[in-house]
Amino acid sequence: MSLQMTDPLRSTANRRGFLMRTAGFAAAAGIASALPLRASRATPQAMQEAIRKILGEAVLQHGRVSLDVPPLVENGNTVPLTVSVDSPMTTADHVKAIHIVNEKNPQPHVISVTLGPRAGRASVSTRIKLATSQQVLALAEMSDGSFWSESADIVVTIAACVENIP
Amino acid sequence: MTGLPRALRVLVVGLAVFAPLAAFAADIPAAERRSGFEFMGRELRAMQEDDAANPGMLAVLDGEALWNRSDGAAGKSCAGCHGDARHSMNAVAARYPAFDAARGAPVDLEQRINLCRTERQQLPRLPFESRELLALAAFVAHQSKGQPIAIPESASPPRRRCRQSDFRAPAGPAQPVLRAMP
Amino acid sequence: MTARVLIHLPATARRGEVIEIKSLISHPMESGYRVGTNGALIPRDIITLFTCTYNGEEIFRAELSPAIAANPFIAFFTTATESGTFVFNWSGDNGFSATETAALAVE
Repeated sequence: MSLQMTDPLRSTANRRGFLMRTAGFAAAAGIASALPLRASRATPQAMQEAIRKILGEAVLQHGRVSLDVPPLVENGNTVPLTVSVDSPMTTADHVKAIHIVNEKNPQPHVISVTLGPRAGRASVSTRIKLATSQQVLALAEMSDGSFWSESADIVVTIAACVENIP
Repeated sequence: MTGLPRALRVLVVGLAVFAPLAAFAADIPAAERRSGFEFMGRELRAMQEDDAANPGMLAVLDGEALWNRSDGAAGKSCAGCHGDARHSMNAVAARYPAFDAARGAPVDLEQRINLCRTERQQLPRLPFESRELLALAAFVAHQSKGQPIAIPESASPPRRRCRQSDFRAPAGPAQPVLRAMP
Repeated sequence: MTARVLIHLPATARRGEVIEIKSLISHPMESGYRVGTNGALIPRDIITLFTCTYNGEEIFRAELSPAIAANPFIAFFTTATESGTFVFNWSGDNGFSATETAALAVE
């Protein structure tokens, strides 16, 4: 059986039919892209909004927090992550809470942890899901009301959340 | 050949060139073999090595419960015959897949577990990739943790080319190979 | 199947020593964003709260989101002040609830 295909542009008799078919495909594609994706992605604005809610009136400062997370993850469904905060963890000076937010998952929250001087060390480890390559931000709320932060950019190859089950 | 479209011609030539090369491919020398573990990222390796963090340990716990459970018409648990797995299953997983001379076919660990279930415990076989079979296999394999895979040479059939008759369809309805990951 | 829990903490500690506690619990942590084979969204089913008390006083609290991976693993630190009992509580969607305890001897 011959595998040669008829060149649609050669035959002038079919040319108008070909153009109309491609126009139809383009229109359908346009409509499809306007429809919301089934699992909508959070935008970086959602992350900023979540940060604003956590901060309240406080100003976010950069530093004192270290975010240990691989820059390239094998599987976005389970990303090991450790947040540590430089703090003496005394009654007078300690970390009250650690929040982690993300940029492009369907929703911006990851985890919020409440600590106190009894913790001894302000360090939390867990495993998170990342839907796509994005930035992750860790915020530490101190006992004096100040907020410190660190961010990390992570490349994700296998995505969590938004993949379809085969 | 000239009558064939170009794409098909490239494919035929490619097969002619590469097929004999594949036939010459030899085993990697033993000293140069590397476990997939060495190619894992740092964090993933740390997760696998830490029994406190490795989620597979939850399957090992499930497997231990299944090991001790008496079920089925015969009312036998794995422990009923094998006792404490820490002793009876030590180094067992390390010599699988094994060649079952009586059946004239290879048997892997999960197939061996199912053979015990159907032949000794009068229990139905567990589907591949089912939570229960994965848990039992994880529990048995855990008893060989750290040991190198060492399949006895004497237990394997003489090396020869694979034949069509070597590949048998599994008994029972076809099972899906992959399950959705949570 | 009942939730499986693994807790790792030292059996003994010196007074004032900072110890690490590792917790692992079996749970699908279904995010609610995945689409199933029938084309419909698989409903969310996650653990939302994890707490740890040390002789009755809460020393750690974590609010989890769908972004926490399945079989949630959480490791944290505390100062060993006195011998006693740690009580770990997980709660979440569909009335999910699990509890585990562990003892610590402090010399």
